[in-house]
Amino acid sequence: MSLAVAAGLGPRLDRERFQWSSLLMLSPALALLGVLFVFPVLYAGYLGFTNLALVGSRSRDYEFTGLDNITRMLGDYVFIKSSWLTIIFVVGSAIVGQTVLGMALAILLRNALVSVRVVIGSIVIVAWVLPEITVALVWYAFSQAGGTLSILLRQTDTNFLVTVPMLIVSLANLWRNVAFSMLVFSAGLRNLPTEVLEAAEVEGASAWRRYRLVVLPLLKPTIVTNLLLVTILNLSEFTLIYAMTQGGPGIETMTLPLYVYQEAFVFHQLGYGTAISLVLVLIGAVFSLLFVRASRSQV
Amino acid sequence: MLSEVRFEGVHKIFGTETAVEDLNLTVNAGEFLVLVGPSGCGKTTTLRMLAGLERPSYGRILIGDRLVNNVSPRFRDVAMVFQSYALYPHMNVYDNLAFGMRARGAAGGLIAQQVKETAAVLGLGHLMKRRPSELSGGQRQRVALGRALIRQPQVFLMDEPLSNLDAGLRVQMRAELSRLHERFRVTTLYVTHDQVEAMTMGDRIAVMNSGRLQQVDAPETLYDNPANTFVAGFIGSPRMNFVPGRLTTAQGATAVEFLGVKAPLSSRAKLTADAAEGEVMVGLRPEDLMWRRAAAPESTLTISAEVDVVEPMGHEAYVTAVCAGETVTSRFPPRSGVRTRERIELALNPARLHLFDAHSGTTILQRPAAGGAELPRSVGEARIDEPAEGRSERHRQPQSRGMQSRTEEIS
Repeated sequence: MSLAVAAGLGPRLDRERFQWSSLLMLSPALALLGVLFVFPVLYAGYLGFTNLALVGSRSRDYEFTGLDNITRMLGDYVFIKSSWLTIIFVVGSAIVGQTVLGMALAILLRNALVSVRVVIGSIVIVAWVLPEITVALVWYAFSQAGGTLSILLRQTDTNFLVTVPMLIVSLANLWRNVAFSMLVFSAGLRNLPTEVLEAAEVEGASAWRRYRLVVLPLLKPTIVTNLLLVTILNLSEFTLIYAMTQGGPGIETMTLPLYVYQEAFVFHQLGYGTAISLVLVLIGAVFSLLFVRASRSQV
Repeated sequence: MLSEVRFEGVHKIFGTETAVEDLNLTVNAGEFLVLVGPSGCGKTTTLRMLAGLERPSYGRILIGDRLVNNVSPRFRDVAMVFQSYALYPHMNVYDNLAFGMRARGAAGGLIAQQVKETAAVLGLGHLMKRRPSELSGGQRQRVALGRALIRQPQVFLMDEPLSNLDAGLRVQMRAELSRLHERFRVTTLYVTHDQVEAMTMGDRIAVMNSGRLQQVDAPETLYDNPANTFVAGFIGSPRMNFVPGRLTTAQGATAVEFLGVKAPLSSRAKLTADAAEGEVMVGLRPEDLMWRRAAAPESTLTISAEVDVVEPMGHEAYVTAVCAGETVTSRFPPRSGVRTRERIELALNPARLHLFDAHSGTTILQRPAAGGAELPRSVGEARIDEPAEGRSERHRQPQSRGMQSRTEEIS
């Protein structure tokens, strides 16, 4: 029936409905969200533009300082270095490492014998379940001079946490978190239409061709979901790095969360620390937007 | 190139379940063989073993003269049409059709030409840029077919390709598939649970049940001489009626008693030797059990019954009636006017009876095929115990005849 004809039938009966009384029912939840979530976020946004300190006179009589914090950041060598380190960490360890290795593990385990699948899967997941502090200790010991890594590489005098600190920290993080991506991709692979993959096989496509032309495109929604989650989770990674290096040697592993901690709680510059954490949020938002864009472009 | 396909003693066991048991089956070169049976009978597993998607637990599978048990699906040179069509959802029709040729490294120009030709054969020319999600069920079905056709494989495998289509389209595609097979003559193994598809499309039909091959024969042979009660009940709609009966032999003449009547057996029909006396299962096709008033003169037996249900189909009506405590279905002419609870008389041609062993269900009566009654056929007692494969070889009809009947049907 055309819309013109339908117009003579009065208001539509299937419109979305809204009842004002529902607001009353929702009010406790709304109040909680407002007090515990919306207000702190907005307040943090405000604090990022003040000179609030943790102790001393400025802790009580802080004031709005406009763009001072931003100007300071742009001239702050440590901040700039820290931002790059954060991006390297997230891109290297999370986006590339975790995603590629997680997907590879999921695909290999899918075709593996059941016993292999159970054993490898369990080991990977145990690494994920271990407390971060334990992982930090294990990798700390592993990479020290005289540690397992140095023995394996026949360089027993080298402390790899000093020579290549960012690499070791990223590897430790990858080792711990790869299970997450593996599980996401295992679920994604399970949901692929089996017959489509079988059709490609019967049509004569090699394993690599099937993977590249069929599996990968069909996994795209899973890849985007994984990238979003992994980026957000890794962007705020603090415990592991802090426990292994405290940001050192020097500032070689001082990613933004560690720098925020140092500024806010070691140097008592709460206002400046908050401003830096806002940049962290901004980086996360940019990554997320990129992923969502990429997922829309071809689907 | 035409290749025959052979299954030799093939078993497939999943865990503790035997999906396929001792399958011996030959699909002749260029033949359209329909594998039919109820859900879970092992027909799809058989097809998947031929495609290489499952490995047989025991036995040998040969395509042409090549043993393919351990050959990857990629290198078997078979094309498969899946029940779900299994089109690549992220590719358009052109890329779906071209995928297989590209995978085999065909030249770009050749691919473009083949895709164009295949699309023209199937009427897909105007849809090349569309994704599968933008196609109707029938169009998707055509793309799936095209993807198989374009490769010119040695063997076509079809797994219930029509079961997701609505009734009208299914009839249309059935004819189209038959036409395509006439044209390309590629050896085809077609799996379905629909006996109408089996009867109308197959050069021969292989019936499976519970993992075992029951019978392989040309459609009419299968219909006229079912090897056991399963085949008899599965092929034919409405289903064959089964009623208990009793064989008696007096003065060399054998007769069967059932539904309160006694039918002498036709002199041309032969019984297996050890079944001359005792309990049997009598099979009556609904079209052989007619309304007395509409019956042909050969229907000499009369059975009195009470109407239970009348199902008008338009061009005919199925009447379910109760007779001597047994429920039987009969095919009536339309608008017969009979009603529930009415007493009616049913007429039966004794030459059209089927007799089965009361326990094993295997046939004990070999009747001459309908229309071929004059053909002298050696119908020995031993043939019942032969494996289905051996029987089918003898029953196979000349190819030309099968072709003839199918061309008539679709034209």
